[in-house]
Amino acid sequence: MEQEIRVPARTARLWQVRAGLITAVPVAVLLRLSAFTLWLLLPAGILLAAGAVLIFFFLPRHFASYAVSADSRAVIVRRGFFIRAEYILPLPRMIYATSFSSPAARRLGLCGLTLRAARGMLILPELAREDAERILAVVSGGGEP
Amino acid sequence: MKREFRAHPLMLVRLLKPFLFVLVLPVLEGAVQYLTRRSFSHFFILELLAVSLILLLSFLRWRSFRFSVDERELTVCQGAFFREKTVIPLGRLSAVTLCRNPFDTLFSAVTVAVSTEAGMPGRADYEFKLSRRDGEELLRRLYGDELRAAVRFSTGRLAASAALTSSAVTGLVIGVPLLDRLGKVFGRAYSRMLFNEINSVSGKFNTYFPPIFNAVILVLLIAYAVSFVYSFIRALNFRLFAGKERLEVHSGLFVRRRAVFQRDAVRDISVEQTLPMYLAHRYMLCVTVAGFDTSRDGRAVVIPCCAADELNGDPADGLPFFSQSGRELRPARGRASLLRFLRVPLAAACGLAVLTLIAMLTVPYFERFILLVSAILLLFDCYAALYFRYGYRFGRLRFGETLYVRAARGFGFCELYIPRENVGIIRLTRGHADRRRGTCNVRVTVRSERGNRLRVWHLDYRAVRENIFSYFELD
Repeated sequence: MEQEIRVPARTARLWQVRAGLITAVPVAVLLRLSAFTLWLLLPAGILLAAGAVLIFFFLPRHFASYAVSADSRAVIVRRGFFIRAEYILPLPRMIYATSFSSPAARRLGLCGLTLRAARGMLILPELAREDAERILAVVSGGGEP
Repeated sequence: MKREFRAHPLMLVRLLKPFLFVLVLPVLEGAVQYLTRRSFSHFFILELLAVSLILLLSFLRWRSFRFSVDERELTVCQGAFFREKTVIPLGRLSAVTLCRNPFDTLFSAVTVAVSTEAGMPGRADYEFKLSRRDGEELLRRLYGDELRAAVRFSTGRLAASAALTSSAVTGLVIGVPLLDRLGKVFGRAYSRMLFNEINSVSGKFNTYFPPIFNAVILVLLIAYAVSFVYSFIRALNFRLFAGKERLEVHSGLFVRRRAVFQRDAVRDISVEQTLPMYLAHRYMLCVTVAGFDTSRDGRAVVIPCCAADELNGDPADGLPFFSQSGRELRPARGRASLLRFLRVPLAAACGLAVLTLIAMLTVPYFERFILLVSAILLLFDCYAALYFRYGYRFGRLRFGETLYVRAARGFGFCELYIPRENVGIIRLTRGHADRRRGTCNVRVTVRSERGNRLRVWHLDYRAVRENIFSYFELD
C-alpha cells in the first residue's frame, strides 16, 4: 500500500471559514430580532457556542484524523475523531471517479474526490491538488475490468 | 485520439427547466402585463433580477460543459464556479442512450444519457444535449460501426404486442396525472368532466349488476385504451441491431430513442408473458442491463412479441448465455401433486361460495352487489388457479452452464436465464407439509439492481440441495 495521504491544514481552515459563515448568518438574524424580544438571545447564544465548538474544536481534529491510501488494489480511508471509521473500496468494484472544487478550494490548491461504486460512493474531502491527481491516476488505471 | 464535444445550445433550456414555472413564466407574464397595461407588480423587478442571474449562471454552466472520449475513457467536465470532472473507463459503461423529441428534431439536437452501475436507480449518470452529428459520432467512437440489421417488426405485430402487454392499471397511472396536469394548465376540471361523462354513458346501459359496475367497466376500458396507445407509440419504429459486442435498440414515434449497450453488460435474460400473451402463445424477450438508462429496473426489450419458434433465431441468436443445459428439476407428476398446487385456490373457491350463499340469505336486498363482488373475487381465484397450475406444469429449475428458472410471477409468467456469476441468493423454504413430503420451494434472485427473482414450488429438497452444492462447487 502506498504512503498515506493526509488532508492539508488549509482544508480545515476552509471548512472553519464555511462553518463560521453558516453560523454567523442565523446568529446575526437572531441578534437583530432580539430587539423585539430578549428571549431570542438564548438560541443565539446556544448557536454561537455550538458554532465555536464546531469551528475551534471539532473541525481541526476531524480533518486531522483523515488518512487516505490508494494503490492498484483498493482505496482505504480512515477517519473519525470520536467514532473511528475505516472505508475500504476494492478498485475492481469502483465504477468511476469525480473530482470537484469550489472557487475558494481552487484558490488554495485543493480538490475533493468522489469514488463511485455500484449503489454507493466514497467522498474524500479537499486534498492537495497533487495528491488528488495522484489518487485519480491510480484509481482510473486500476478501475479497468 | 481524444475527441471533445460541446453541449448543444438547447441544453440551456434543460438547465432552466427547474425554474420555468417558478420564475421564468411569472416574469414573462409580468412583461406581457407591462406591455398591455403599462403596469407591473412590486415583485417584478426582483423576479427579473433573479431570472437574469439564473440565465447568466445557466449560460456559464453551458459554456463550461465539456465531454471528451478517447480509446480508454470518457471525461465529463462541468461547472463554472463549482467545477466537477468525472473520468469513466469505457469498460464501466453500461449503456448510452440517444433520445430525440420533436423539439430536439427542430434544432438538430439529441439528448445523450450515459449510464453506469453507479447511477441512481431510474436515472442516468449524466444527461446532456449534443448536436445530432456529434451524438452519432460519439456512438461510433464508443462502439464502432459494425452492426447488422437484426429485426424490424411490422406495425401489426407491434400493435399486437402493445395490446397484449397493456393494462388498465398502467393506463390509470399514465392517464390520471396527465389529465390533472392538463386541467391545471388550462384551468378546467377535465377529471370531473370525464367522470360526469362516464356516469352519464354508463347509466344508459341496463345490466343485472349495480350501475357502478358499468362505470367501473367503462373506466377500465378507457384506461386500457390509453395504455395501448401509449405502449404502441413508444414501440413504433422498433428495430434491433446486433453487433459482435453490442446491441442497439431503436424505438419511438414522437420521441425517438436509441439505446446501445454491451452484450457483456447483460445481467440476465428473461422470456416473459403477460396473461393475454400466455393465452395467445406469444412471448417477449427482455434483457436486464446493469445500470441501464432511465428505466426503473434496467430492463430492455429485445423482442416485443413473437411466437416460441422465433425465440431461437435472430436477434436472440448471439445473446450471451441464452441456452438451456444440465439436469432439470421439476415438481412431481400426478394428481396428488396437482392437488397440492391447487389447494389454495380450491379452498378459496369453496369458501367464497359458502360466504356468498350466507350473504345472499342474510341480506337479500344486496343480492346484485354480493354477486358482483363474488364474481370479481372468483375471477381472481381463477387466475390464482391458473398461476399455480402453471407452476405445476412448467415450473422448473435447470443447472447447466446457465441457471434456468421457469415459474409464474405476479400477473404473468417468466423464464430466466442467469449466468453462474450473476446468481444472487438462493432461498429454500420448507413448511410442515414440505418436510413430510421431502419437498421445498426455491426462490432464485439475480445479482443485479433489478434483483429479478423467481420462485419454483414443490421441488425435491435433496435433489435441489445436491445440485446447488455441485453447481457452485461447495463442500
